[in-house]
Amino acid sequence: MKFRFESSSGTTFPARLGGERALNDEPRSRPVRPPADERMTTAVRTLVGNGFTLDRVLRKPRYLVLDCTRLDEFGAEIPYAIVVADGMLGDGDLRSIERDAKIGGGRHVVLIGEQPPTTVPCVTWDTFLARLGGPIKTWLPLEPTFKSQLEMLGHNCLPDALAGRPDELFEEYVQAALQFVLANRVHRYGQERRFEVRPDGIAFAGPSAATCLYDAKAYRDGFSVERSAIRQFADYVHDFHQRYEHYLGRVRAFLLISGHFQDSPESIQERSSELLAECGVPLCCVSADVLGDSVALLAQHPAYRRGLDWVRLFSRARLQAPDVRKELQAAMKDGLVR
Amino acid sequence: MGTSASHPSPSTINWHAVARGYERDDIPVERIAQELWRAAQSEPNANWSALLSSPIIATCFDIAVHGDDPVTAVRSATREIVRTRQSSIAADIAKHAVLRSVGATNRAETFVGTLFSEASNYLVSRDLSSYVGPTFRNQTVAQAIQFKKELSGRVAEVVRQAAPVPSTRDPQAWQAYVHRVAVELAGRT
Repeated sequence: MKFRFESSSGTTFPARLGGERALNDEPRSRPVRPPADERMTTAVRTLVGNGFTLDRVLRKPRYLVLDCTRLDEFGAEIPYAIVVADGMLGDGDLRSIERDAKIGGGRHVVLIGEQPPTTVPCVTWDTFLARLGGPIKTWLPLEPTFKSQLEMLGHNCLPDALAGRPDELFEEYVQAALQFVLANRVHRYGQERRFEVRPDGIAFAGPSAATCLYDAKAYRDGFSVERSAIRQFADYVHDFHQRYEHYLGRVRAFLLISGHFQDSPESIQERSSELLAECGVPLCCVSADVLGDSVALLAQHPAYRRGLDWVRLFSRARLQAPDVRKELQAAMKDGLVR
Repeated sequence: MGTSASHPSPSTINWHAVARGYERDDIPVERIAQELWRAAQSEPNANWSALLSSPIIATCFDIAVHGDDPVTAVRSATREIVRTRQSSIAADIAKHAVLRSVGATNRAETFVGTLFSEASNYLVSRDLSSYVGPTFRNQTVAQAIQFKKELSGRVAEVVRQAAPVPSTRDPQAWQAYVHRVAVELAGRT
């Protein structure tokens, strides 16, 4: 995947690709309306992740044009000029955009921004992202080595290509994976708060942004879900409800992610029931290979990520790849997302 | 069939997990059905997998499949229950399933579907009345009835997909079949 960014002055610079650095692309908290630069990187990632080929990025003082193409269902190449506007555009800007699109091979112009009705199709930033199944905030999950690295880190082993502490990197990889599959915000508390009564992070799933707490456990020989762990997770849930229930609603599931689990399916089911009995939240155990498989599956169909019933999937004691595939097939069968 | 709240489920972790589903509307019915059947199989004195796989239920199954008409079939089932002295709630449910099955297009499937759905209904009914009100998942009796319907519908769906219904009245085949279905219902696969 190679393309160039071009500023209006003609200066070019390479797109930032690659695992470790991509993790830093995203700020910890999301502002209400992202600044133009963040919107540009998110738009590029989301378009490329959805199968668009980016031909050129042209930066103008008040807007950004992403010239790209996508193959339709008949294999024909459809050229687009996706315009990310920074504020309201004037008639002169619009005429210029339409002229350039015509000269550039009759590209279909789509304007992203708040604009009164014009001759050009216009969608808001949120609608644009929603139509593409949600933002893709980092390239990391789309890397071919992502699954194998996630699995190694989940077993507390450091892959050759990475540097750092495996457990910390595992948390970062899990965050990137959840962010991608859920196409939603995932907040990570970070290692510096590991001694507080807090899980590793909070993920928001589905259109209603259902709250899910998660903990990532990097263990060389797999993680065993003991009774003490259930008590700890229940404490996290109670603490979260005390602080944030009025603001974010009740927790819908507690995700436990690890390289693999030592326990039998029956024992995991038992533990999941215990957490449910304790605080009304089901425990869902997700092994790194299942999370990696889910990422790989949804990377092929990114527009469907928000169409999956994640709350239902996470209400199971163990998430398994066939469950995700079945849910995806059901969403595809509906034929509402194209 | 007794559905009195004076005979609630035992106070165990498994039954507490089920009760969470009666309290909160964000726990999917699918998960509640699983918890219900896990709890139903965890009782040492009333393991529902064992109750439904007993020989008298296999006999009722045979009557349901081969009975001439509903009245005669129910009489035969009652006679067998009395003769073998195997009266139980499970046997009562099986008698009800016989009545529903004779005359149905697919008797065997109707019998097993009814058997497990009605057993679920019984297990839910003995606790649900304590969880109807403004702070619970079901705020009115009508909602509680609808909830029970959804739950037994889910159970019937799992039973349909679980395993092929045995073609003989062989008690061992019946026992193996009920065990397979119970495993599926509890999500142990």
